Amino acid sequence: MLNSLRDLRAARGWSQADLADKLNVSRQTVNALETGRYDPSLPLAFAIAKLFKLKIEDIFQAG
Amino acid sequence: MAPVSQAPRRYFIEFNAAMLLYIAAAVGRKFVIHYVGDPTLKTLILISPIVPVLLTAWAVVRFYKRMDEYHRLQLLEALAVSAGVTAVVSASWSFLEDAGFPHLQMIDALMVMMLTWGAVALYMGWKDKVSEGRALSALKSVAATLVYVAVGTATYALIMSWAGLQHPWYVLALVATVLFIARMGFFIFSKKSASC
Repeated sequence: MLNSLRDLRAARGWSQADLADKLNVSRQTVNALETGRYDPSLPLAFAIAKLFKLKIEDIFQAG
Repeated sequence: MAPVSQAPRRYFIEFNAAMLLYIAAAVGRKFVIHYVGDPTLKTLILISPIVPVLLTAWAVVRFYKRMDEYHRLQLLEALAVSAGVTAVVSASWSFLEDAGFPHLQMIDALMVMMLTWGAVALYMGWKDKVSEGRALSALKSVAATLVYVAVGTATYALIMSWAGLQHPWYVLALVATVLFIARMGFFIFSKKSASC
């Protein structure tokens, strides 16, 4: 699955650690999400969408 | 709920407290047992290390509940691989014993499982570092950890030999594990936001 997490984070000037704190996950998890090595669960995907005030499909696309 | 970043630190404290209790019980019972006459009390003292073993399992469960979903997946994958390797090794070894290979105890299967679990967890951590472009610094860190554990364990073995005390391989494995955990503790507590 593809995602625009890195771009969204960079646009807000957040580091991976900043985003990890906001989502209550580890920095490694943010990195795994951004590099496409890990697809989030639905609850985490909703949390990400809520944080960026977007729909899930605006952030995640089928690869 | 406590932040995920605090999970490794809490686990480190809980795990090591249980390990200290384990060592105290495992070593202490051999001294205390000589002064106890009651058979029931004797049995209770002999099996007392089971309590810290249960506490260790409890610490792992608490750690699992505190970590995020990505690290839960990694932990479960490492556990699955280690369980599979242990199953293959123990099943194969039972046939090798029929062919004259030395008889192993159940504790040896645990050692195989723990070592495999650790190795897989290290490999997964390594993949994360490579993905983050921090492979070289991670490699240096792994090399330093291996040297630290090897030198520490060898020093322990030399001291035991010098003192004329036995140091079977599983005790050396325990010493190496403790040294490895101490090293991990250094990393965990020296970082602002610890990883799992």
